[in-house]
Formats: sequence, C-alpha cells, structure tokens
Amino acid sequence: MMPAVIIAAGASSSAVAAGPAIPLDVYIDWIVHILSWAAILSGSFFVLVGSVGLIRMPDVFTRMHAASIIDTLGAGLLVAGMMMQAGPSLITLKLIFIMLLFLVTSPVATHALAQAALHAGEKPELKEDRTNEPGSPRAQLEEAQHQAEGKR
Amino acid sequence: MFTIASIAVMIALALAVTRAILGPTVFDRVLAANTIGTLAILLLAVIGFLMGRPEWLDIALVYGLLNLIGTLAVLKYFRHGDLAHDAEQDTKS
Repeated sequence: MMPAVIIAAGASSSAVAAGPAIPLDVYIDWIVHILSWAAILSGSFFVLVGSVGLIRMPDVFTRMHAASIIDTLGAGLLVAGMMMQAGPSLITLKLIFIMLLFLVTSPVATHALAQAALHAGEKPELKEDRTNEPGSPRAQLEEAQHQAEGKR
Repeated sequence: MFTIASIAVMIALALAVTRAILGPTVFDRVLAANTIGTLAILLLAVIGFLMGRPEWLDIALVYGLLNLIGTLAVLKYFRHGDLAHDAEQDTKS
C-alpha cells in the first residue's frame, strides 16, 4: 500500500516540477513502515524458535531457557513493530506498559519456577548423562535395562 | 504483516499446548502454562491491530498481571502444599 502511495506522489509532483520530487514525510513514513515490517517478521520468527525449543529441549531448565526467548526477543520485537505502526499515541503508551510488564514478570516467574523445580528434586541433565561411553550413568542405566530384558 | 504474526503466534501456541500435554513433570506444565499466557497477550495485541481495534491492549495488560499471579500461586502450592504458607516459620525452626 505504502509503495504505491510513494510512486503516485513521486509521479504527480515530478510531473509538475523536476526538482526534489518526493516530500521528506513520505520517505520517513516509508522507512518506519519497512522497519516495523522487519521487527514484526523477526519477532514472529523468534516466537517460533522459542516454542520449537520448548518442544525439543531435554529437561525443565533448558526449556525455561527456550521459553525466555519468547518473553524477551519475540515479545520485544513484536511490541516494537506494533509501536512503530501505532505512532505516538495512547496505544504506544499501553504497548510500553506491556513491554515493562514482560521485562519485570518474566524473570520473576522463571526464577520462582527454577527454585521450585530444584527444591522438588529436579536435576539438570548434565553432559555425562548424554554420552554413551561405558561407565557413564546413561550407559549403566541402559545396561541395567538390557539385563532386565534378558532375564525376562 | 499482522496476519503472518498472528499465524506464527498461533503455531507457537499449539507447540506450547503440546508441551503442556506431554510434559513429564508438573514444572514443564507450569512453564507451558506461563508461555501460553505470554503468547495469549501477544495474540491479543496482534489481532487487535489486525482488526483495527487496539483497545484490546487493555485486556492484554490484565492477562499479563493474572498470568504472573497464577504462575506464582501454582508454584507456591506445589512447593508448600498450602497457599497460605508462612515462609518465615521455615527459617526460624
């Protein structure tokens, strides 16, 4: 929509006078539009990345790490893009409040969650748990399962 | 633009709901519930812009406040088994 306006404005004014045709306001509008496009698209990308991490990560603590991407980069870029679309108004003020809310509540919730999980005896999965070398906890576990299946 | 953003947020919501259903421990489910709240705020804001009614941002703010209180209440319940637990008594005794 915006490029068409610019082409129309440029065509009409350059037909009248062959000087600096397009007014500066139109350029600034266009730049803000492109920046908000970029911010909203990259915000959507980071929201998707965070939710895929929520599915793929191995334990609670790493999943918290993935979910914090949604709270910071995803929400931040989306809200910044929406601010650029809204312009200076009451809506932008509300968006700033939403952003401040995210910045304050997300670390509080994540910290409480990690503390409660540690208190309840959740252990972070370590590198030793992921290797299959003989003697590692995972190899011992697999061996025990193997023996249990063999006995049956 | 807002259509793309709302579709992305909805896909993310579906994945978060999957984690809430699968989640082996209760903390996975609390984390997924927190993420679902965050994504609901974002979806409200984006769809408000998409429909040309940005007044929905007020509802999004209320959702954000409720989300934090809900998460902390559930975590306190699972940690102490009691919502009115006095933490000072633990340190005294």
